[in-house]
Formats: sequence, structure tokens, C-alpha cells
Amino acid sequence: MKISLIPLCLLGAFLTALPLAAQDEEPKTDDGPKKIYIPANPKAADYIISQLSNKELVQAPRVEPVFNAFLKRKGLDAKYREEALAGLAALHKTDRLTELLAALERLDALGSGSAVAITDLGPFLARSKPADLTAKKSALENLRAKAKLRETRCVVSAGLITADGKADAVWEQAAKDNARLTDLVCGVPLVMDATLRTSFQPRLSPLAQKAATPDLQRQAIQALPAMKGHEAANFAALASLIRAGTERATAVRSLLQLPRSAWQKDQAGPVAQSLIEHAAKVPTDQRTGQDFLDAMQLGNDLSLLLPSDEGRRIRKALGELGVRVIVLKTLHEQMFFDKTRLVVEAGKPVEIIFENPDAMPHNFVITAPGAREEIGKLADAMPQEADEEGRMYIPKSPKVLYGSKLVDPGASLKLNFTAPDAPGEYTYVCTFPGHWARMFGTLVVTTDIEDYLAKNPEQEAPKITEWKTADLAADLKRVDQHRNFASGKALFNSLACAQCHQLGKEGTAFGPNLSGVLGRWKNDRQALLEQILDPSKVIDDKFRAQSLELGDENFVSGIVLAEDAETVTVQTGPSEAAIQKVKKSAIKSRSKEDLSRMPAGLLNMLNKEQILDLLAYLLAEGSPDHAAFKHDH
Amino acid sequence: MNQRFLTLVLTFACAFIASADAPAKLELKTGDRIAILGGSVADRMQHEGALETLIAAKFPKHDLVFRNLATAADEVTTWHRSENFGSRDQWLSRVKADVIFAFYGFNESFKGEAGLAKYKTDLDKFLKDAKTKNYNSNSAPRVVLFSPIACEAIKDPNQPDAAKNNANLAKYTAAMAEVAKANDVQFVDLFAISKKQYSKADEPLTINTFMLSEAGAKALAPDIFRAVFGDSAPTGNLEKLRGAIVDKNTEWHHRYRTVDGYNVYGGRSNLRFPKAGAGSPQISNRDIMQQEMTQREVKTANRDLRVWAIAKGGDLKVDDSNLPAVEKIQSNKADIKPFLSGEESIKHIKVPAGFKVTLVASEEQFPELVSPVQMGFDTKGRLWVAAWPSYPEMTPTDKVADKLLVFDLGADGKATKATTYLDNLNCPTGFQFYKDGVLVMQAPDLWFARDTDGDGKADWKERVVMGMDSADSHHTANAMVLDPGGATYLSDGVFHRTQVETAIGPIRNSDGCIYRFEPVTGKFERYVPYGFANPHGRVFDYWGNDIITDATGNENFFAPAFSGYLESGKHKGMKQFWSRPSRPCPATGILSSRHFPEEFQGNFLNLNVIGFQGIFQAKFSEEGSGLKGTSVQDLIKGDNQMIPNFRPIAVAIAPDGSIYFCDWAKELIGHMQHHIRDPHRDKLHGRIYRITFEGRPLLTPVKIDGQPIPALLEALKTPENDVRTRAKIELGKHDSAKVVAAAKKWAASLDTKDKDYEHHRLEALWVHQWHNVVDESLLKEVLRSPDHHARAAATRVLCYWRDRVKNPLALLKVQVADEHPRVRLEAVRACSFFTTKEAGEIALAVLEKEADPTKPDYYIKYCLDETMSALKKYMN
Repeated sequence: MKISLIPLCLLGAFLTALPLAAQDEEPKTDDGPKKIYIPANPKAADYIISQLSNKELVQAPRVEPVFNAFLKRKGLDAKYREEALAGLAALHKTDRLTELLAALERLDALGSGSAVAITDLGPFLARSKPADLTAKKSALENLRAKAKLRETRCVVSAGLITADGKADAVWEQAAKDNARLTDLVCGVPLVMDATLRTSFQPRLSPLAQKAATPDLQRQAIQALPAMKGHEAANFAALASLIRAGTERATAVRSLLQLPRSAWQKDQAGPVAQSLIEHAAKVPTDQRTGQDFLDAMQLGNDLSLLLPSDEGRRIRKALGELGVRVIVLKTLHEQMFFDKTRLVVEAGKPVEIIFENPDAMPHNFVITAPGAREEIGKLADAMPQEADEEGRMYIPKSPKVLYGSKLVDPGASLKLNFTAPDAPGEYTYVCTFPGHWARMFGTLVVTTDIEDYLAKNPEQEAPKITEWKTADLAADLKRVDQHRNFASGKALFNSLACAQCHQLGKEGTAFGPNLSGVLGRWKNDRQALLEQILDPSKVIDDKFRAQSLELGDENFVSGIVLAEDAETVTVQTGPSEAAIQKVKKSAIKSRSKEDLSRMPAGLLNMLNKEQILDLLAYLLAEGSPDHAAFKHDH
Repeated sequence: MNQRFLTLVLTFACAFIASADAPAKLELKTGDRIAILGGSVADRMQHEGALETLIAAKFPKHDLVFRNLATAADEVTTWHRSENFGSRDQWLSRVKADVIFAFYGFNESFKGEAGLAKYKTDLDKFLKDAKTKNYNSNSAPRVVLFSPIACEAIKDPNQPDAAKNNANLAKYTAAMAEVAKANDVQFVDLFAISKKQYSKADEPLTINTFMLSEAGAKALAPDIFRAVFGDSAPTGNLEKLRGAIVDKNTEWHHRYRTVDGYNVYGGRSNLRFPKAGAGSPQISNRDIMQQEMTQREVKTANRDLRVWAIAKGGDLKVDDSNLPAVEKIQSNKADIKPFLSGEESIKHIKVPAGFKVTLVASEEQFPELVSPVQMGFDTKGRLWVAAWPSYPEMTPTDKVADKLLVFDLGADGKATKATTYLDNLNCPTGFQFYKDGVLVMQAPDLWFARDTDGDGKADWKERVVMGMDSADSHHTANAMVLDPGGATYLSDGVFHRTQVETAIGPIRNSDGCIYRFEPVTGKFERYVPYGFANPHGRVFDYWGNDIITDATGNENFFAPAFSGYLESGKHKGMKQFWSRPSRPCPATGILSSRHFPEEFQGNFLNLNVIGFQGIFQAKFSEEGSGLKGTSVQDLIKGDNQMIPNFRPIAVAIAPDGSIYFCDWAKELIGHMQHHIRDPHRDKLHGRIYRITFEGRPLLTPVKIDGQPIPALLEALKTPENDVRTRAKIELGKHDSAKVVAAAKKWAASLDTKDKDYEHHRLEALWVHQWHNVVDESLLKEVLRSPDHHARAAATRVLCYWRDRVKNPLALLKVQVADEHPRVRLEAVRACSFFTTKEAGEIALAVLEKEADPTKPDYYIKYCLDETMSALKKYMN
């Protein structure tokens, strides 16, 4: 039987299961204001509020604990914070600023967990009218004096500066006390008025080079990028700090914040060189920290300003200093690692983030080539006793090159080791008794990873998880928050969703349009997810493929676009070229297909976070500005 | 080439012919294949064969083939099966159905008036769809639609309310008649037929108002026959024919409802192993297991031949010599260490000073003692053991089946005699004593088996719970502990799709869950739906504190907080109460025996079978509302070098206070590491050992068996948990009215100055619960006991009596404000079972007792979260 189907790969991701495109059907929503129960008792109210999602919270009746939550909750739109200030002012017959200061005081008392909320409230204070702030000056002074958190003192300092409208008086007052001065400097970048803010440049500039305390110096360095019109001078100042190794990490971060137009080519080479020299001295197990990564980033960015040969040399040098970080996981109830091959560079440090979502403990042991069985059997026979390093089932054998502790179910562990010097195919294996027979992979040690990968592309598909809706249901509420836009977008592309679906202006309209898709599913994310996981469960008739029998065992299979008295127009694949007209007289029989054109199992190669990122990308309709991608802490 | 087209034409033609008047009676053709769909009425038909027997006898020349595809709790739109089981359509095609008997409507009826319209739509679609199918490859199936039977009013306070269900069932029956008529489909009104037969019968025809007993099925069958065929049913003694039919159906049941489905057709059926040693081509579990399934199909067909022969007046001997071969696999574990004898092994089992291990029984003396997995002492002091030689499950050609064994013990504690109480079992994963018999788990059903003639062998059996899944045979419902109030529990693991038909509607769950079953009332509910891998260990301590263990990770939980009500889904992740040294754990126990020194009393016993092959001990201590575990010295530890196949798998305390434990005695144990049919899966060994403490006298066993009620009540003062449980099991044999009256008298006569008075009085309350008799004043007394343990336990009793106590929420309001967090925890849990805003408000009141709301009690916070999410829909 010959079936005129376009190659499967072209079919790509095709969501036939979705209802018609947005323009055809007004999304029906059932999430109008809901009645949310808030108990009268304050303790019970706080508890109930703590259980509400942000979406539910904003629908809650406007009572005091709800307003308080509006000021405290992470990730809420600013309008709710503003509403809360007005609401509390009305309730207490006070004014907005009084309530804001009270909120800051309450949050400060709660301790470091409130730092994000306090920082979020900062602009509300800084944006207040100077006259209003002046009227509250003593209250601001009091709060600054008693606040426990640096964040509170910075925010309040910005308010005090704004109240005064100029730098001199506040500076003179604060200069007597280093701690107070530090708070003030910290508040400078938060000041909204650029002129007022920048008037601090002459005072900050010397402090950035030399200050009474390291903390004060760091705050000054951090404030420099906020000085409008002084970018070139501050670039030079920061560059010299980096080269001197003074408060390097802070200076690197500040320099990265300066607009690229202010970067000076003549400084780029020496600064980058100093970063390379510094990086080489960082112990390998610290080379995955934020400071190190920032330095790498700056070095790379600077290298782009240099002549190409020089730039390349610097990038190569930086690249060699980086530690290869590999995430290795176990598969739940499968007794497998999620990767069957790891490729590392000979003699170079490696960091493995070993995550164990399985219900059993597992370890990670590197054995000499061919020694897996020998080591596995030795481990089988070992008593359940930890060795001097707290490890179990690690045989004392020269063929064990590295062995980790057991990682308990649900736990993860960072493993740092240096790859063997001799290239070759080593084994990594779990030596928990009985596991070695099954749970292992090949550790490829090579002198040139890129070259190796080019010659030996991944052959085995990444491990597959047969996701079920139930596996993800509990996590769906996390689609709204802190998702990774880049990941969602990359997955949307790599899964070839756009080959068959439109999202915004992108994509091909073969399957249903994905814009507003969630609305069409009445915001039921689970239902949407189910459609992706099981595309054939519900197929919209418009997108249900038909099989047309043409005789001579010839079939055309595709979506019927149009039909008139004589012909049927069928699209067999996502491209325009796949549209064909078939004469009705040639059709011997027609049948509707039960299988969606969208392949099932599209998400099987993804992990949970990736799936959430992809869903967030759909939810956001591809917009990076969507709230789901905000990272406010 | 044009088969598709032809089929289409035929389908249309058939549909056209069918649109004549509704057929008044079913016309059968020679060779017709009849598929049976539906819930428990249909499911049970294969086991009693009453209707099938009448049909086979009436149509002896037709050589009819019956294949039962029913599963208790099925609805017309549900198909709750484990992964890759195959859809209803696929199965109807596989059995090439010419005729479908569809029994729907019972499970749907619990949606009441509100669900009626949808049911009619669903049924209409089912009937219309059927007309477009051609499962037998040439015509649409002829469908006969059967209404649900009525619920039988049984005069027994423990039985559910039949009248309430019948109001709905009558409506659903009428709706079915209407939909059948509109679709020209033959309809049989079982509701009317059953009501007529109930009114004529002297004894109940159902076991629980909605499941027909064998006698009930036989009573209804002739009327059903007449309704289907418009002719009277054949009469006379058809028992031989029925026997052949049940035998055939049993074989089919093994195939259609095969245990271990996840390894036969689901996810792990794809695990592959070298067929003949390292480097050889691989063969998957599925490859071999599907060959076995084919053997089962051939065996079923061979038994059809005998059914036909008897129907024609003859007989034949079933000949299974035509079974297709099943491929063999070599072990991937070649170097099996030879087994030391049971006696010799003792040298390699380490125990603390003073402890002594002796051999009770081994396969050397009792060849039937192979792979013991569960154990328990009955009221006569005999040791019961479930033996599972076929693990992971029987092959179609196995000669030796799994068994429930009973050991008589001599004065030295050694086994003197073994009696096979039940034979021909397949995967007996759990058992528990009940009245004069025993509840036995054999997926998919929980049986109640009794020995009525006293020969030590069961001669009466009834399926009392149907639908426990067995997608992974060693995850199948097990660890059937009794709680102090008489309910038993079934621990079910991941991959499972259990669905159970109950008198208040179907219970369905996906993956791991512990279920609570009250044998006295038949109540069955989800107790802890949770992301378990395979929960095995299960104990209640002296005060009824509930400890749950998940075997795979040996995760141990203090359970009250996650056993509240959830309508669907599962509870969120919970912390473990003890940092266990290793895993996995097949069973747990509590060392409750004064034979051992005081310091060991109440120790948690946690068995382990890999790496550490022995028994851990932990001590409980109070921590907030919960318990905390702290490891103490290991009780026993096998030397892995010498006895690698030593696997302690079950533990029990004997009436004389000694500890007994079973050794599963296997080197290969995991499902995943070796092929299901790896030939080195041991089918020959099994041991039972006993642990005593040297220099301390054994306990004098408390007399239980045959004792009068007052003596049994006095036995409830015994400190040993197992003695009290056995006394309550024995009390369960007595008339409830007498037991309760005596318990009241006993409670009133207790010495209030006795240091254990509060516990004794609590036992009186538990006896009431065991007998399903509410005593509100006793409950109220214990709810306000000076001992918080008793108050917490009574709060749980209140939870299960909430439908029969006056104003239960007023009582919970007091408990939720209790001085002790454990009582508050139980009160919050109890609130989750209500459906009112008031219950939520009472649960929230627990926050008033939190000294620092930012550092709440872990379990109370957890339970409040779960309770409030269960009650959310009533709050807003």
C-alpha cells in the first residue's frame, strides 16, 4: 500500500486537537471575579490568604489582611500595591505615605524573607512628592534608624534624599557615621530624579576608589552605573578597580551595567587579561558561582571590542578556564541515568549536578575502562557501612577513579572531580547493590570535546519520560511564575511547533492557531496539556485528517480544506506545496482518521521545568514581557 | 484491495437493516461470540456462570463463545485500566464480538438526577457507535442492553441503605429503556427482575445489597434468559456444564485480567535482557509474557470445546497439548550462591546480646513453604503464612500454585504440621483474620474464605471487594493490618488503576494508595492516596497511631495528617518521621512483648532486604502533634557474604511473646533487574525463624479461641498489642448486641485508679467501633479523657461515626481547641470529611492554638492545608 504522506518529520508539531482559531470563537472565560472566603479572624485570614494564588488573591474581598498581602506578596502587579496603600489609608483614615511607611516597618520586622517585597515597594516611596516626604521626614528618620534590613534603610534613604532635593545636607549629616553613610549611598541609585541622583557623582567617585569600610566602597561602586553622563569616567574607574583586584566582583557587575557605548576599547584588552589571570587562580569547585560566571561574561563581552585575533585568544583562554557543568539525573522507577554518555575534557575539572528524583538512593562512580562488572560485584558484596568519607558501596580498588556519596531520593549533590588525564571510554555506574548491571553509562574522556562530538554525534535519543497529565497537574500552577523565556522559545522552535501552528505572527497555519489557545480551553491548563500529551483524544473536526482511497492501493491522507461538487482540496502537510486537489470521481472511499496529525509524545524528551517553560511561552503568546517570565528576586 | 469500501457498504447495510423495530428477542447464530461488558453484575457472571450455563444448554449446537470483558465499577464511558491495557474497542475486536451484553447504569446512578441527561447522551453514543463497528470483521455487533439490578433491602444495620440507591436506579433504568428504544436496541430490565426475585427469596440474594451471591445469580438467571430470548430457560441439573463454564472462564480471567500487567503489556514489559548470556540478542518481558498470554487464550479455547461437548450431552477431557511454545531465557545472574540450610544460616545472623534465633520451619521439612510473604497468628495461636512460589506470577503451565498455609507449633515454638488452607492461589499478597475466616487478597479481588467443616481447609469463598489492580504484582494490595477499631487496610502501589464498586458509588484511583475497608459494613474508601512507589509496611501502635512505610525508598510516615479526605488526586509530599539507615523495606512491626526487656518495648521493627538484610529498630518519641523515630541497635543482621539470599520479609509477635519472622529466601528479588521469567528466580526455598531472649521466661499465651465474651474483654487489658487484636477478632465472631452490652458493663466496672484505665476504656470504645455500634456517651467520655492519646484516638472514632452522632461538628470544635496538638491534628483531619463551611471554620480555629504562626506544627499545618483544599469549594 502506497500512502501519499509527506515525510513525518515535516508534520512536526501539529495540534489538531485544539478548537478553532481565536477569530472563529470568542474565548469563553469563567474566571470573572470569584467569591473568595476570607475569615474574620486575623490568624485564620492570614492563613487562608497564604493559600491563595496571586490570581485568587487579587479577586479577594478588599479587607485589611488582603491589603496587607497585596503589599507583601511577590510578583503582584504594581496597581494592587497602589490600591492597597489607598485602601489601607481609607480604612485607617490616614494617607498613602503613612501606610507605605507602616508597611515597610511591618515587613522589616518580619526579617530577611521580606527583602524582595521591601525592594518592590522602594519605587513607591521614591516616587512620592518631595513635599509629602518632607512632611514625613522624622518618621523616615526613625524608620531608617531602627530598620533591621539593609533593603529598608536603602529605600528610606532614597526617600530622605528625595525629600531634601539636594545632596549636600543629607551627605553632611550622614558623613559622620559610616553605617549611615553606607545606607545613604545605597539609596542613591533608587532616587527617581536623575539630576538629583547624578549630583552625587563627585562624592561617590572617590569612595569607589577608597572608603572607610569595604561595605561602603561596594555600595559606592554599585551606585556608579546610575550616574547619568559620567559613564566614560566611571568605566575607567571600574576598569582600574578590576585590574587592581579591588572589590573585583562588585566592579565587574557594575561595569556590566554600563552601556556598551561607554566601554573603551583601549581598556578592554588589559581588563580582559586581568580577568583571565584572576580566573586561573579560582579553585575549580568555585568556578560555577555567580561571581566567576560574571567575570567570564565580562571577559567575553570585552573581547568583542578587540581585534578579531586578540578577541579569539581571550575567548579561548576564558573557555578553557570554565568548568564543564553537567546535569545528570536518575529516572524515576526505571533504574537508569538520564544520559548514557557524558563527554568531558581530559585532565579538566568537571562539575556534575547529580539529581536523584528516583525512589531509591543512587551514587555515581567512575571506573576504569571495562571494570564496571568487577567493581559492581565487589560493591554487591560490601556491608552497608560508610567509609571514612561517608560513602557506601565504593570498593577499595585502583579501578575506582571517583565515587560519590549515596544521594537519597529527592536529593541532589554537586560532584566536583577532575577528568582522567588519559583519553578513553570510562564507565560511570551506580554501585548500589544490584544496580550496576543496568544503571551505567560511558564517560568519554577526550582532548577536544567539540571535535569528538562532531565525529560522534549523540546516537541514542535522550531518555524519554512518558508524561501523563497527572504527573504535571500539581505543577501547572507554576506556569505563571519565574519561567524561563529563552527556554520556552527554544523548545517551541526545537519541537517544531511553528511548523504547523501559528503563534502570534510566527508559524504556519496547518494546525489550529495557538494564539489565545488557553482562553479557548477556558484557562484549563490541564486540558491544554492533555491535548499536547494525547493529541488524538479530542480532535477538532476541522483538523481531523481524512483518508481518501484512490484505487490501486493509493491513498491520500490529509486535512480537507475545501470541497466542491467535483473536487476535494486536501493538505497533506504544513507547506503550501502539500495542498492538492483530488477529483471526487477518483475517490473510491473516504474515511476519517482517528489519529491526530500531531505526534504524541512530543514532550517526552523534556523535563518538567522545560514543559512548564513551553506552556508559559504558549500562555504568553511568545511575549518575553509576560508576567510569567518576571524574576523579581 | 477494496476491503475498506466493502466494509463501509456492509456497515451501512447492517445499520439499515437494524433500523427496523427493536428486536424483541435475541437470535443467536452458530459460532456466535458473545462479549460481556459492564460492572460487578457482569464481572461476577464469569465466576458463577449461571446465565451462560442456561444459554449454552439451550443452544447446544451453536458452539457459542463467551468472553467476559467486564470489570467491577466500569461505566459506559470509563475504562480505568493500567497502562497499555488496550481499549474497549480493541478488546471487542480481539474477541471478535458478534453479540454484546452490556450491563451499565449502576455506577453511573450515583450521580443521581444531575447525571441523568449525560448518561443518556453517553449511552446513546455507545449504542450508535456500536452500529458502526465490525468487531467480527463482517457485521456490526448485536447489542443487548441490561439495566442495573435493584439494591436488595437486607435487614441488617451493617448493610447500606438500599432504598436510597433504588430511587436513582429506577430512574436510570427508565432512561436506559428509553435510549434503547430510540436506538432499536433490545433492553432487559434487570431492576424489575431482581426486585421480583428478592421478594420471593427467603435468604438475601446479594452479599451486600448490590452484588449477587451465586445463589442470587442462579435465582435471577431464568428470568433474564426469558427476557433475552423470549422463551423459557432450560431446567434440570446443569451443574456439570456450569463447572466446565466456570473453569473456562477462570482461564480467560487469568488472561484478560492478568496480574503484573505493567510487565506484561505496560511500561516495563519493554525491559530487555540478553536471551542467552552477555552479548546475545535481547528478549523483552513483553516478548515472553505475550507468548504466555497466547497460551492462556489457547487454554481457554480448549475449555470451550469441553463446554460444547457437555452441552451436547457428552464430555471430553481437556487437552492442552497444543499450547504454542514460550521462549526461554538464560539468567543474567549466573553466579547464584548455594543456599545454606535454614539451621546453618542462623550462624550468619547477628543479634544483640541476649537474643537468640532458632529455626521454626524451612522448605527442607515443609516443601510447600516457598517464598513466604505475609504472616500472622490466629486466635488459636496457629501461624498463618502466605506462600508465593510463583513470584512474580504463575505461568500458564505451572504445576505448583501459591498457597495460604497454616502451621501448628510445638511447645518449643517449632512448626509441627503444615495445612494448606487455600491452594491454587496466584499472588496472595495479603490476608487478615475476620470472624471465623480470613480475608485474602488475590488480585483483582479480596476474598472472604472460611473453613465450615473444621478440616483446616477453606471450603467457602466469596469475593467481597472487586477491582484491586495488579499492574505490578509486588505492588498489589498487601500489608493488611487491622486498626484497633476493626477496619483493615490495603496498600496498593504505583502503575495501578484500581477501581472498586461500592454501595455509595465507584472508587477509582491512579497509582499508589492505601485503602480502608470495614469488613463488617463493606465500606471501602481511599485512605491515603499518595505518590507511593509500593507501600508495604503498616502498623498501628498501642494508642492507634498510624505508621505507613513505602517499601522502595523505605520512607516512613506518621500518617494521620495525610489520611484526611480528598475527593480526587493525591496528597502532597510529606516528611519522614525517622531517618532510616537504608532501604527497601517489605514489612514493619512493633515489638510489643514483655518477654523482652523493658527497653525494647514498643520498638518499631523495620525489615530490610537489600544491602542491609535484617531488621532495624527505632524508638518513637513524641514531637509536637506527631512522632519522631530514633534508630537503636539492629535487631538482626544477615551476613551478606554467607547468606546473600537471606531476605527478612514479614514479622509477627507470637502469643508466647517471641518474635517470628519469614525469610523470603531468594537471591533474585527485584522485578526490574532481571527478566520476569529469569530461571534463577527461586521457587524452592522459604524459612521461618523465631527470636527469643535468653534467661527471660516466655509469656503464658492468653486464651482467646472459644472464650466467652467477658474473658475476651478482660484480655483487652493485656499490654501486648497482638493479644488485644486477637481478642477483638474473636469477639467479632460473637453476636454484636451481646458483645456491646457486655463491653458497656465491662467499661463501667473498670477500676478508675488503674494506671491503664484510660486505655482500657478506649478499648471498650474500639470494641463498639469494631461492631459498628455507636455509643455517643462513651465516645464523649473518651473524647475528654485526661490522656491525650485516648482523646486523639476517640477523635478518630468520632470521624468514622460522624454520620451517626448528634452534631459531630460541635464535638470537633472542642477537640480542635484541645491542649494537645495530636488531638487537634485528628480534629482537623476529621473536618476534611465534612462538606460544610462550618467544618472549614472549625479546622481553621486550630490556628488559635499555634503559639507562633510563623513556625506552625508540621503535621497540623500539613493537615490543615489538605483539609482546607478539600473544603475549598464549600468555603467561597
